[in-house]
Amino acid sequence: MDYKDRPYFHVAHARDLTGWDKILYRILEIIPGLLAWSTLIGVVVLSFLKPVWAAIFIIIFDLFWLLKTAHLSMHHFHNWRRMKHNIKVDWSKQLSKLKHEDIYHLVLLPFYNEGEEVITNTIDALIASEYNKKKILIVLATEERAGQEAQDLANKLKSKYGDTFGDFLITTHPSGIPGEIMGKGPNITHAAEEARKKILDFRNIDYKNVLVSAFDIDTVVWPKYFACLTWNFLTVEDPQKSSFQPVPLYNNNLWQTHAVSRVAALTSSFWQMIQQERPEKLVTFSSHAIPFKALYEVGYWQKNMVSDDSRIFWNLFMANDGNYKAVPISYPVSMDANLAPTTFQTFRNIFRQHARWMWGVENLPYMIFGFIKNKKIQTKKKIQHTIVQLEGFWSLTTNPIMIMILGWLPIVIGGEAFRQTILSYNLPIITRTLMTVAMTGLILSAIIATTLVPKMPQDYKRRKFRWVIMFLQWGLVPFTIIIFGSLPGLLSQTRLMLGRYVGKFWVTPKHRK
Amino acid sequence: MKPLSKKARLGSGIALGIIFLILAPILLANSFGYHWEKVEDVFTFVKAGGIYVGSEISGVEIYVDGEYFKDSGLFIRNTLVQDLKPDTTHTIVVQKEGRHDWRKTLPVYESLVTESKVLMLPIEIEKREIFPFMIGEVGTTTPDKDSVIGKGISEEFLVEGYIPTNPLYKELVNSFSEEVLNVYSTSTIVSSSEIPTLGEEPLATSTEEIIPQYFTDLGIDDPSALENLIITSDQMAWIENGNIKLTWIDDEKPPFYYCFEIDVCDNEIIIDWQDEILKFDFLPGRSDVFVVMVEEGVYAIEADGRSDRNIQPIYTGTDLDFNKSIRDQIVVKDGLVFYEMRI
Repeated sequence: MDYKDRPYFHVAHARDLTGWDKILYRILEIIPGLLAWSTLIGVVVLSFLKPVWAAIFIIIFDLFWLLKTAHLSMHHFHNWRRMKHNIKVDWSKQLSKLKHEDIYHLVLLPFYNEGEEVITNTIDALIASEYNKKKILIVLATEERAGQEAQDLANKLKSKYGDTFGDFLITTHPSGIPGEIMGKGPNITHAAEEARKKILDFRNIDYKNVLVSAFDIDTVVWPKYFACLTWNFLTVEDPQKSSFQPVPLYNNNLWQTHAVSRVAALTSSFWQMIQQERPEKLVTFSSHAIPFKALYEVGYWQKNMVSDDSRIFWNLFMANDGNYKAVPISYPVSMDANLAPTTFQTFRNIFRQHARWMWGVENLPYMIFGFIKNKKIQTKKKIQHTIVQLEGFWSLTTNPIMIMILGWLPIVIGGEAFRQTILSYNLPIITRTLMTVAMTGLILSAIIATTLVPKMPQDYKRRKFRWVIMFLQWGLVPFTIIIFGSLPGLLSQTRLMLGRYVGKFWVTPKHRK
Repeated sequence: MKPLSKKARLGSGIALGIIFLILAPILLANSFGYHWEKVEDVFTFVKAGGIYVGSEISGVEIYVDGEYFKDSGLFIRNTLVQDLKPDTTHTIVVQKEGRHDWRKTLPVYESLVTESKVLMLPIEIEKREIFPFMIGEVGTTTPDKDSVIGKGISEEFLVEGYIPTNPLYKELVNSFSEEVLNVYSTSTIVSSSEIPTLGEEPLATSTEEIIPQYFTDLGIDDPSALENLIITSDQMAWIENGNIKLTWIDDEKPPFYYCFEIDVCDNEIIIDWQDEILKFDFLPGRSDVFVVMVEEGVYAIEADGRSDRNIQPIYTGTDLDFNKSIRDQIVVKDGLVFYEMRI
């Protein structure tokens, strides 16, 4: 039996299984949280009982972190150069050398109750893209639970833009289907299946020639996105076993939103840029593209869990016995940074959005469970992915806390005898020095960020001051990586460890000033 | 443009890994106080000790055993002097233009840090006269429009027959007065024996009241008999035989200035002055420095007696008195004039 036909292929959590499988899956769900809490509690206990050991661990860890930062900065810088290069490349000219006329792009735009301005921005960018619009098939995926207002808006947009594209389909995902969560996954899965029946089959389009871009409703494509994507699709080895990942830049509204939101958003973008240079570690995230045939074969995105964007990669990886990859195209798509009517709401939304992203840890037990079950996947790949994913979630959650807070702990709770040692005095000096050197990497981030910022609106006053703030805001990173990185990560891992699964996809509100 | 090649990434990883392997032991050795030293023409790995120089002043120059060590910089105040030969003493001198030098000879122990805190008062301490009447920001000695003629109040507390209007001045007159608590009130007359000194807890003089345990521990039956008694949350000090007796009364281990060797601490310090100490108080913001009044003037002296105590003048002259103001500043009374000392 193919792996995709096995009963646990679309498992969301341990509760969906029975017997030993359930026990095994449950243990795997506990591991990330257990690792994170063991580390944090371990450092606290060690600082109390064996402060010298704790200090040694912290110094070595700080040095490791500094060098890791340097290593990642190199990836970041290279990807920034590559992305800037790819933005300039004439992809249409490149494409003209290839047979590409049969390729279609099915663009899924799931929306719930976002405003017309957000959707028109997205569609206007699609129209502005340098690609044959008749090869772009739009699916505006609405939700029945959003009510008549959303339907009316969809119909209005179809009548306005319908003739511009190869097709413009409105789908309505029914509400209250058993086994589905309220979220993006069920909606785009429904939309993709509707599009298959009503567009692809109707027009007799070969599934092999269709690339599905699963976007968010605020995803604004850059002009050469489709040309670049098509070129990558046509030139990559084994295209039907490849997903394609653009760089998600959360920069649509950078000038309108709060400095904290900007830093949190750009930090997420930068992490994705780093991952673009480490393809063996890359997993689809947020807006991504998948060959329709591969997608159809695995039954589209899972409808019973939240982080469908990354899960689809693991579905495909398992279904293809490990012979599936995510291809970084190093070309940007833009999305909104968090913005709400009030600062507090903005901060709350950032936290909730990041908590949802961090809930991607639910893919870790699925991945390891699949590795155990699927004997056809190379052991090397299994080990590599397990280490990468485990280390990724562990470091994201624990490292900022260890570096920013726990570094001083042995001095505080290590006792008087330890406080008199040279080691105790040197610990904060070394930690501070290493962190200061590491933070110089922020200057690179600040420089890169300024090149990714959209044009400042003409009516803005105090323009130079705003640019200064745009640069200085990077000083917030030590706080944002803990508050919007570690804490939501720890929350998600703890929930998974305790079996308190997230059962609803929290839709990030899109607010425009 | 191609992605970062595996070769480049691997190269970076290996290079950084090598740097890690080299730096980690060096950092750790340095953290533990190890350093390379030439002993009899041979470089040896030796374990050292250090001295922590705590300071509230930035930009000081530090000298160790007569040799320049470092400038603490514009923002850094505290300095750790490392790589000092253990099991011997080292002399630290801290200097800054316009301030008194601070000099201390301290013992150093292997892998441990000897703590210290500098006392560096300005050589010329800015002083501000506190005037009796309020006119403008500075004040005046001439009665202002709000002044009232003092009736029923002793002549010595009036200025040109008027009650002073400057509240700070009045507070100072009250605090320096030995006779009454509030000299400008005709209704509230309180005996000076009931006046608690600033920073002092009210004493139990009544036989019904319980005397705190730390007095009993020290064999003191009648705390009210102690001269110039000052009690803080963890220390107690009073004048005994013309010297200051400072006692640690907290359960925690006493701070560094009670410890004459590492981990060998006494709970009692005697600050011995060649002449009789007439009055003392803690220097504002410091629990290890006293302001003392002797016949020749008012001085600051540190409690730390591990080597010669640093003594620095605040105000010299005879027939002086001093107190702390409500703004926690030292105020010196020279004759009839009050000076707030900007230390």
